Amino acid sequence: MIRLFFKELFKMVRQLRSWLGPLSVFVLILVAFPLTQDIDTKFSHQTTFSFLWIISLLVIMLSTEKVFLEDFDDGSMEQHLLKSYNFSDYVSAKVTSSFLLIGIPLSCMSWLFLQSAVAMTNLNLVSLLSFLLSNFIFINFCFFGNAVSLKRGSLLGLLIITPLLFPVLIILGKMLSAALLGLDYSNFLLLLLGCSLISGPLMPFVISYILKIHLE
Amino acid sequence: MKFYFESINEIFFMGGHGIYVWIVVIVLFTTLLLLILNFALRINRLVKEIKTFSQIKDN
Amino acid sequence: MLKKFFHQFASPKSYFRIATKIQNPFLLIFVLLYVFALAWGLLFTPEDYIQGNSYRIIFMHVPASFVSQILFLIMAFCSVIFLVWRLKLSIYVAKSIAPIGAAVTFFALFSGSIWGIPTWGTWWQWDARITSTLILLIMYLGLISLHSSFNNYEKADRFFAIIVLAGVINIPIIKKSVDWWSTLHQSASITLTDAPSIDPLMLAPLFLSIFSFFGLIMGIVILSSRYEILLREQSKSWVKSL
Repeated sequence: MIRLFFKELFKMVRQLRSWLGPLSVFVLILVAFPLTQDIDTKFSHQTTFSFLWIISLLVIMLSTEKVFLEDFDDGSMEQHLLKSYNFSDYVSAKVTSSFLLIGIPLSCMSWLFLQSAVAMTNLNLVSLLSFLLSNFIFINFCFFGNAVSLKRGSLLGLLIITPLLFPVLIILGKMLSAALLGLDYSNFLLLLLGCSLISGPLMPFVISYILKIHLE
Repeated sequence: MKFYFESINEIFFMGGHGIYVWIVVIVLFTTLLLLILNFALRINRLVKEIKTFSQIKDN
Repeated sequence: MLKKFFHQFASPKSYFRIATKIQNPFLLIFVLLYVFALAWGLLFTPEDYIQGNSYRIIFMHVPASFVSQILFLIMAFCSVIFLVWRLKLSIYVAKSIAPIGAAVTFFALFSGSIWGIPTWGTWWQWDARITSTLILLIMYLGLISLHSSFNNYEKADRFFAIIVLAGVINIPIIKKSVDWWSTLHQSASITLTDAPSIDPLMLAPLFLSIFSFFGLIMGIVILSSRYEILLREQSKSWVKSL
């Protein structure tokens, strides 16, 4: 399991464009966003946060576009299926390495951008946590959508998974407005944590089931 | 049960809100009619196709 | 015996026979009942104190939005049966529900926005319930396009069932959205636990309209599932000898 994970991780690290590309797109958009506004306007919290969430969602969608397609085409996915270990381990190794290389840098960069954009008072910890959790859920769901529309382009998968992600976005927005009002936001954070705890172990099984249907 | 309106005019206008109510009624019934007709016609066409196809095969 | 009954009923052939027999009387009864309920609601109930006459849209809006969620639940139930027991009939029914569900959800959104013009002063608001109903519509459309994008029916069926099960999380969110977030949309007038917050004079036609609209839509589901069965089982001998 751990060997498999490192194998996938190194494979992904060697392919620079699969993780450095999305990250640089993210940076470019971050730079472009302030350019559209006046220099001395202060960004409002709500706008900045929702902008960051949506951009991370889009970048993750972009980065996961062909995760399974290459393995499917060169036949290595079939080999993973035939080997003795669990097929869902292969999927979770892919998800985890993608989270390490894309999800965590994205969260850190969003957090840094927040520091520069808005006056942070009591939101430091919660913003970083919310970025990490939401990016983890986004990555899981994007893998899911990608597995569904494996050979048919990512549009169909997006059409199906985006509605499923709306609840997460709603929770994020509610958490932010509660935190801004100085109310207790821990219940929303726990809800988010619960979402990621459910989707983390469950998604690899679902995705591997879908991939098996594709491989038949 | 008591009839609420006093004249036909009132049924149509409903104190200015009649247009909304009746638009919704019309859209509702067109939707239902389209659904039913769509599937009924499709079934008919399919049955015809199957029949001609099997006849061709028999010949 | 029960098992035998289920086994017989669950074959597409006998289902098709029964459905053909009951379809027309079923549809006729519920159409008449629904027209009666609508006439009762539209013409024989007193005016609402706050909303005026426009509240009469409730007799079309509430049944539609209720049925749009119930249809998704039925679809999910059929998908579970299909995934567990590999019952062909259940996925035929689930597949045939999707376009009807899309139409009903669209109507629920449409009637809601028309209702919003006189009462809220706006036809659209990004509030929780309206948005989640829009998501439901997108889900239905996505399911239809997913199923039609495969040329292999067997794969398409299984994907369809999985996505339906994943989409079920939306239903409780729609149901509870009005209670969780205080928004423009009024909270539910009728609940199972509390006494209804609506006058009994209006309640009776509302219940009747919900019930009869549900029956009416079920009649259309029977119709469209017959089409689906014919389409899928074209090559079977019993279809050819119809």
